[in-house]
Amino acid sequence: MESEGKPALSEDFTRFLRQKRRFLLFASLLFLPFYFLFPVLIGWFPDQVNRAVWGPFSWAWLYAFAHFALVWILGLAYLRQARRWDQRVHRLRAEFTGESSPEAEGGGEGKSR
Amino acid sequence: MNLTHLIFLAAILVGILIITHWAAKTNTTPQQFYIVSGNLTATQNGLAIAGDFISAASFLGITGSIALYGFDGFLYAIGFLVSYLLLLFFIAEPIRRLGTYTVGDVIAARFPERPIRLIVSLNTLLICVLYMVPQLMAAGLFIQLLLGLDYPLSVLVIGLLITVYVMFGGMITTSWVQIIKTVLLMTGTFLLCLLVFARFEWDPPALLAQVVEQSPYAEGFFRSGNLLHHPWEAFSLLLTLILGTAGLPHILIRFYTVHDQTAVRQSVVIASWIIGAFYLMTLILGLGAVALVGFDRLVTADPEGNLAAPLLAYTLGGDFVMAFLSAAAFATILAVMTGLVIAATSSFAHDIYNHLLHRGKAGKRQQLKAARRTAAVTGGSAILLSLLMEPQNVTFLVSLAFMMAGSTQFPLLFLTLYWRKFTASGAVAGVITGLLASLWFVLPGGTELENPGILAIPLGFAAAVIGTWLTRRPEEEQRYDRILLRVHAGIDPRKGGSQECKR
Repeated sequence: MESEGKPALSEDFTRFLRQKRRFLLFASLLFLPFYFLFPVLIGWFPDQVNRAVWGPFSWAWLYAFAHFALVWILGLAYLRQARRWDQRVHRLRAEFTGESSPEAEGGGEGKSR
Repeated sequence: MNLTHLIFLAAILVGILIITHWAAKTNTTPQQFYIVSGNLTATQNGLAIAGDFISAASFLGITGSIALYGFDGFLYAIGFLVSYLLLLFFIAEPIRRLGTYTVGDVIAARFPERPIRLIVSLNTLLICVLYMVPQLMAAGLFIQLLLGLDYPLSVLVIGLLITVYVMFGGMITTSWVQIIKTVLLMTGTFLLCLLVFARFEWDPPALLAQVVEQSPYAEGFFRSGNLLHHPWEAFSLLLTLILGTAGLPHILIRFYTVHDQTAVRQSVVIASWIIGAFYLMTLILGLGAVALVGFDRLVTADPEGNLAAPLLAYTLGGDFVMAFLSAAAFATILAVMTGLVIAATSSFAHDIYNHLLHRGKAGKRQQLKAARRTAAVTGGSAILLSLLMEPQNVTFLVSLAFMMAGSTQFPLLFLTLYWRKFTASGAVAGVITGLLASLWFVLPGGTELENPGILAIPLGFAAAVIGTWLTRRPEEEQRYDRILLRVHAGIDPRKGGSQECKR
């Protein structure tokens, strides 16, 4: 693979990857167990989760509704985080090509096609 | 024949035909045909993703399941929705960075071996066709019911129109059908929710009390377990839904239609807001349907409960509101169908025709011609299959499509993007095993579970891992570094810099 140019991963890039991975891991540890615990509770502890807490709505319903909040909140958190990554990536890319990029502001990638 | 219904349906069909006519003039390059040249805005694409995804099965089906079975029907909505987090975090942006038109492109970026592109492409085609047939049959039944046309004639007319839309309009028509559908459907369901609440004088407890009175489950309506009896069923269903949704080819290719990464993730988030809001409304429709239409009338009209929403509309607002809602449901079917046809088309015309038969060197005109012909053949085979199969037993095809997407496409994409050691043989082993397992478990006698995802999906993953293990190639792992650079920084080392500016 020597013939294919520069050694692929710079230190900056690996550090960036590590940080990105940490965020994604954290977010996944939040929503995946939350999601898969739900059918486990419904399947094996139906009496507990079906106890009514709010009118006819039981814990199971509240749990179901909580998924909506989770998806919306994590989605927004990801958008915010990704904006920061964009700027970081922008610098990495400028470093890699060794030239200053024409679209320096805001980390946007501009028209790419 | 009902004139109100006819006018609404005709307006939709003719409106889309006009869009197609206008789109046909601009479809001069494959880029424009397959991905609108990446010219959609994030909001447009968000609406289109929602339109692409919310199928008749989820609109009519979830409303009906909630009306008939209560809580368990709502589980589907949860699975569909949470899947968008998976797409947002792990799939959407990498796909946009690695591919040009198809899922095959993404895989080929890491595994350039030609057989892999072939397998991925055939698998995409299979999923699309399997998913298309029940949609087309639903459309046929719907038209038969609303206008009194013969079933075969309805299927033929709708199938031909959809084929024409995609052949000439490509992704532009597809996108606009999906956007218009989302607007119609959201407006229709919102209106209907207001009518439901108005009927109970804006007093939700009165609605809930009426639900308990009307449902044969009474208080048990709000309990889990009315539909999914075995403890594993709920788990298996939710596993299939979250991974299946994230592997559906017609959703994945939508990420190519916007101009940059920022727009990709914004469109996924926008879609998740729309889809979430929509499913909350289907809950109200489901409650309203059982409370106002009554359980017996729902089951008499359709034992599966698929007519719950139109019947509720009729009960609340008579012919006119029902015609509006039916038009929205009809637009729903069209939007999903066109999305599937274009996914199948790009998968064959781009992956197989252009890349495998012409080594990626087919001319623009040639590619467009191939794409139009593929669209025609795809539409034609969907019509044929729909006419040959019995309309009664097709719901299993929807779950088969989801299970296949979850046990083949998703593991393939995920491992390609995130596993350094993954090899070409592992990829092939995973796809073939996932495919065979899905088919095996839906066949009669395959398993007792109604949702066999819990069996097929782990098998797909396991085969990919074992296949990789048996064919370890440490020397190829460096290739993964290039993928990392491209996926996470948009840097393509072979081109000495940013790929984004060179496309």
